[in-house]
Formats: sequence, C-alpha cells, structure tokens
Amino acid sequence: MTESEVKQNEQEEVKNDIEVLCPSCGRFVGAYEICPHCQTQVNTRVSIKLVKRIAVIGAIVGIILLYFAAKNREVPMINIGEIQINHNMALVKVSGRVIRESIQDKKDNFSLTIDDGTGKIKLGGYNKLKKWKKHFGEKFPKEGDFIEVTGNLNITEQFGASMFLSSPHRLVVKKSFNPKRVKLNDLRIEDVNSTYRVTVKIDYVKKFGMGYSIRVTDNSVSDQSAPISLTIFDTAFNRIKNENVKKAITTKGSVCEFVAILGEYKGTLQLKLKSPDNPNYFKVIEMGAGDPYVASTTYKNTYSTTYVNKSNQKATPEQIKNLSKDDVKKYVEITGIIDEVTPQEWGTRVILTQDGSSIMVWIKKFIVGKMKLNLAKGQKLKVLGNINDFKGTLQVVPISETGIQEVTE
Amino acid sequence: MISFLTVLIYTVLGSLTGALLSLIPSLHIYNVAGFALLIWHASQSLIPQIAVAPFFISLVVAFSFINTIPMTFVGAPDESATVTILPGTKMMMSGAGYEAAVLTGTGSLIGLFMLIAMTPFFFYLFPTIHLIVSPHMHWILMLVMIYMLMSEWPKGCGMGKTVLQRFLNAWGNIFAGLLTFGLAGLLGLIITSKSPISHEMGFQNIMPVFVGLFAIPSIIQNLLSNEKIPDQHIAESINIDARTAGISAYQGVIGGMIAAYLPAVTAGIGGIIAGHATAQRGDKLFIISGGVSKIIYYVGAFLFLFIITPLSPNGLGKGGLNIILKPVLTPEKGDFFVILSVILVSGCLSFLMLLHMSKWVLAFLKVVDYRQIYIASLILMFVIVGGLTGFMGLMVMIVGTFVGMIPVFFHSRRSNCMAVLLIPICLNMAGYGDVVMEFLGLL
Repeated sequence: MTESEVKQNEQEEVKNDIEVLCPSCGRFVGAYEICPHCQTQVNTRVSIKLVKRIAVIGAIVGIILLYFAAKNREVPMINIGEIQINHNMALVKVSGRVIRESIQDKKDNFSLTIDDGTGKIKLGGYNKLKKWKKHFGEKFPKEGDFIEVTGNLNITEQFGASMFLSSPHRLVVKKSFNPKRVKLNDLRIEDVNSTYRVTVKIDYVKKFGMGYSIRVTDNSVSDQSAPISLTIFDTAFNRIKNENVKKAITTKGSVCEFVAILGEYKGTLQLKLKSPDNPNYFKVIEMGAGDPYVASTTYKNTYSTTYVNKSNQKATPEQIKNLSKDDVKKYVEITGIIDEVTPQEWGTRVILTQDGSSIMVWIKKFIVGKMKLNLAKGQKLKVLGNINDFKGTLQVVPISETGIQEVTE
Repeated sequence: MISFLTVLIYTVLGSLTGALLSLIPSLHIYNVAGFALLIWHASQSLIPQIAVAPFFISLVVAFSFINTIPMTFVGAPDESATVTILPGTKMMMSGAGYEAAVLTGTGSLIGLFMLIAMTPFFFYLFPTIHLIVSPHMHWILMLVMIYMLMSEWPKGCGMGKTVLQRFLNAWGNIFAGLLTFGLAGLLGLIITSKSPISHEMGFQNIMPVFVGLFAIPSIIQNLLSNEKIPDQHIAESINIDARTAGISAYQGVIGGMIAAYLPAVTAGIGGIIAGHATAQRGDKLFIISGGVSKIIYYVGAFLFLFIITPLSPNGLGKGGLNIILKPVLTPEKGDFFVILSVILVSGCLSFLMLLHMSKWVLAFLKVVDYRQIYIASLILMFVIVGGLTGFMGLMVMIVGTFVGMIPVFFHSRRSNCMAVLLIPICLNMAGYGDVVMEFLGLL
C-alpha cells in the first residue's frame, strides 16, 4: 500500500468515525440519530432519517398491500388423502359428506367427520357450539350433509390430520341430507348404518337406568312386520327440544315420524335416533292415549334377550309337523286349532294343533295384556313368532299382540 | 443399549449442528428446524424415530447457549433478547465481550439446573396451575399487552426549537412503540386468518414474518451502525458471586417461566415483567438472568410437552419447536426424564463449546469485517424464506422488516413486534377472533 493510499484509508476511517461518533461527547452513537448519552442531534446521520421514514411508510403501505392480497386470496381446495405434514397449520378448503357428528353441549364443543372419497378428516369446533348453532339454526351441519369448509389444518402424529373450525361463515352446507322414507318391513340387515325416515307406532315403552327401551311397529295395519326396538339413551333424549315429541315418543299408541339410523345388535335390527336435537327430524302424527312412560312395572324385561327380531322379514308359513330344532330362531307363521289354554304367572301357554301335530305357543304377559282377543279351546289361530327351544321342547313365541290373530273361515 | 447410543449420538450431533448454525447472526434455529423436518420427512431413515426429539431439542439447547455469541459480539438479537441486548453490548464496547458471553452462558447453565430442580413442581403443581389459569388466558395476555405498552417510558429529553419538536423528541419512542404494536398486530391478524403463503408450506406460515420483524432489522441496524469491535480481553475468570447468581436465577426463572408458559410471550417480555417484579438491577444480573430465562423459554417450553399427568394428558408444551414437531412426535409418559437427560448432556456440551467458540469468533472477527458476515446472513435469510415459502413469503418478510425497523430506529421496545402473535391469540382465546376477521373481510 502506498503512502497516499494509507492516508486515504485513514481519512475514510476518520469520516466513518465522525458518522458514528457524537460530535459533542465523542462517544459511539451507532444507528442513533440523537446521542443516547448527551442527547446531541447527530446532524450528519441523514441516512438514518431516511431509513426511519422508509420504515414507517413501507410498513403502512406494505400492510395495506398484504391485506388486499390476503383478502383476495382464494383458499385452495385440497383432497383429504393428499394432506402431508408440511400442510400443518395451512389454511385450506375441503369438501365431503359428514359421516359422523359429535355434540358436547356442556363443553360447548362439537366435531364433524367428513369423507371426500380420498380420506376422512375430523373438524373440531371448540367452545363454539352455541355460536355455530345460533348461526346455522336448524341447518346446523349434520350426518349425511355434503359440506365445504375452510379451516386451519392441525396434524399430529397421534391423531393424524384434523381441522380447527373457527367461523361459521367458513362452512357451507352444499347439499342437505334428505333421508329416504321406508317402512320397517323394508329394512334389511345389509342396510345397517343407513339413515331412514320412518313412520311408526309406539308399541311399548320401558324406562331403564340410562334411557328408554322402546318398541315400534309400522303404522300401517296391513303390514305383517314384527316390532323393532328403538333405544334412546337419556343423553339423546334430553337433546330432543320439543316436549311434545318427548311425550309422544314415550307414550304407547303414539304415531311418530322420525329419522333414525339402522343398527344391529347380536343379529337383531334396531333403530337409533339421528340428531335428536334437529326438530326437522321429528313429527308427531298422533298422540297416544294415556301417560308417557307406560310400562309394566312387574314385567321383567326378557323379550329383548329371548326373541330374535325378524322385523325385516315376512314370517315364513310353516306346518307344525315340519318344525324341528333346526328351525330354532326362525320367524314363522303357523296356523292351528287351540287345544289348551293355560294362564300362568308370566304369560299364557297355548297348545296349538294342526293335522295331528301340536306345538306350544308361549304368549308373554305383556302381550296378553295388550291382546283384544280372548283365547279359547277350538279357536283357529294364526301365530307369527320365533321358534324357541324350551327345555328340549319346541315352542313359538309371538313378539307382539299383532302376531296372534284369529282365523275366521 | 442401542437405544441409549442412538439417543446419545443424536444428542451430540444435534448439539454440534445447533452450535455451528447458531453462530450465523440473526438465523433462528426454528428456521433450520423447519428444513430439518422436511429433510427427515423426505428420507425418514435419516433420523430414527427414537432420535427425533433428542436431535431437535439438542439443536435448541445449543442455540440457547451459542446464540449468545452473535448476540454479544455482533449485536444480533433474536426475539427473546430484544430487551436484554444492551448490557451485553455495553460490556462488549468496553472490551469485556468474552466475559459477557460467559456470564450469559453461565446463566443458561443455571437455568438448565433449575429445570432439573423444578421437576417435582412441574409434575405436582404446574398441571393444577395450568388447569386454573388456562380459562383466564385471554385476559392475562391482555394484561401483558397493556403492561408492555404502559411500562415503556419516554427516552428523549424533550429538546427542540418548537413545542411539537420537543414533544416528539421526548415522546417519539412511545408513539413508535404504539405504532409498532398496532401494525404488528394487524400483520398478525392477516397472517393468522388468511395467510398469503402457499398451503404447501403451511407449517412455516409464521416464519417469514418473524424473520422480517426480528432478524433483518437487526442486520440492517448493524450494517448501518458502522460499529467497530474493540479489542477484547479474554478473562480467565468471571466476576460473579453466589448472591448475584442466586438473584439472577430467581429473576430469570420467573421471566423464563412466564415466557415458557404464556402463549406469544417471549423471554424478553418475561424478563421485563420479572425485572419489575423482583426490583433487582445491575448489568451482570441482567445478563445472567437473561441467560437463565432464555434457556427456560426455549428449552423449558418444549420440555413441558412431556409433562404427561392425568390433568395434562397431552402435555403442556408451547413454542415453535412444539408446533414444528407435532406431526412427527407424540410425547409419551416417561419421556420426560429421557429428554431432561438429553438437555443436560447437550447443555453442558454447549457451555463448553461456548467458552471455546467465543474465543474463535473473536479471533475471526479480527480478520473478517463483521458486516460481510451480515451481508452473507442477509442473503441466507432471503434464500431460506424464498426457498421455503416462495414469493409471497418474501413479501411478508419485507413487510415484517419495515414494521420491525420502526422500533429499531425509533428506539422503542422491539418486544412490541410480538403483537404479531399476542393480538390474534388473545382475540381467539377471548372468542372475538372471528368477529374481527369478519370485520376485516378476511373470512
């Protein structure tokens, strides 16, 4: 380095020093415009003034631009099956059919699980149930609805992908679920988990510890279907808003229309109320006579464990002589002449004969109480019931009073 | 035995990687953790599942210790140190930078042992406290924000020719603080409600704005300040007594716990509250307690994820690393002590590295102009943000930079920038997030 270059460097250094040192006290001021030690204005720091102005203007203008960019941004629609860990926290849109809903009134939480064909995702609304219900009212998204929703993804190793629901404005019900109207006779085991709208007559109501055990039959008298059970737990029952519906559904003889999910328990079809808090899912057609919760207090609930409900099938006509132990649990229709009627503590025993063969018909006490028919020897009777093996002897057990009919020639 | 060795190897590896990366001024370890997660996801055989938590927590432990070096020697604070930088810089300017770095490291080491000592508290009292406090979080955060704004004092002397000039001279920094708080809050509402960043990088939604608010303004400030690093004395001992260490631990634990527990509250904000609460003063105390609070804020927040009790079945974790690792890590009962051991090993290793690396960096700064390091760091920031989040990420970063420059150049508290998270979180917790979003038309 030449002497002139050294001198030039020194001058440059001095100039730089002047810019960063306070002209009054000589101490280092860095990026300060006013000396932090003695408050002297450092007049040469023009660039700092400029930077300050750029910062304020840039921040305000930048945020305005960013605001419009965000406002006009179209949230991307993604397939649930394509969600990956890098999507965690991303704001996305998904659409699909609600396959499960869970409502926790006390915690003000709800969740919906949707399926778009590529995968399933749980949408969670925490502390938002009241707000969402207020917004949607009766149109609150329910199982079966096709919805489109925008929200932030939350991906965890333990639970996979889920989505936080924030504003109800970010969910659109594209197509409301309209359940198919069916008769109980049309229900089949293959249709389990399907949702239907049914019109039924309340045949029997019993309160148990956690809810109601209800038996319903088709409203139409022409149908030869057996009753089907409808269990309503207290948690679901309390979600029914309409007191009239509550009363009707627990009153024998009422005719109601409701939406239910078909289930099965140990091979027996049963119904479960769908979205009990949705008033559109209930209609009282006729209020039954008497008080609600009519049930025999002395009757021990045995029907649910002893009979096999074949409500989805027509009873098979059988000859008494052809019945064997292979027919146990079959739902059959037999016709014969009453040979003997023996009332007992828990029911009535009837011996029915046909072409020289006979079989015992066991009519439970609760059915006897509802029968309008007086049984007498010599009467021709048609019985629809399940074949049971009682202590080595076959017997037919009707499961409702409609299963015992007098045959008039 | 194999599991033990795997955990140990990845603990050491994480500590070394974290230490090297932490030397880069303004680079936050969470930016690297995002990259590491993507690499791990792309090639899951690279890090065995058992080593995920040890590796990443070691990165953070090393960052908490080694980050002191750029913070002290080249004045690049992260968001946790926006109020603790001054005494360290003062020591640096008087040639005692090495001692300042070691004091901060000592504070971090004290904080590490405090985390171990507080284990019974974490399991027997903390979950109950959380149960009581969590429903009230929104107004607690509101109080923190009010406290932050009201505790800032006018820094000018009211000099000037006109009344307005004198007023602005005295109160300018207060208004700058309020402006920063408001703009950062608005920015946060935009980012959290309808981020313009691609959903493909959703897990890095917040990163560009943080780089903008904290990292780049520091770089610009240092590039403009023309600071010259004076000759540094490599001290053989540090001037600290048991009383100072004890008071620092007391203050640091309070600040660190506040920051580690409350959402969007950083060690800097926690430090202000703890400093006022304990009414203790002094540069050394400030530096050491800053070290204590930093480790509890960064490391403790992640460690809390492993406090699995009947009252906290999903842990009590908070912070960036927790969010980044959530898709690949599920804490299980019993993991706490493994993680605590990892933290201890990594912490002690990092402290030793701090002692040596401080000397190397000081020697390095004698031959290299630190501004060149900052320029390289600035380029790296653009590459990371642009690479991960694309053009819109860069735009968000630039807007964040403008907002972050206001407190830097108007000399108000940089912790006001944390309104970027404080305001949206507080509004959401209070149940008004949707209302504000709707009002802004960001639904």
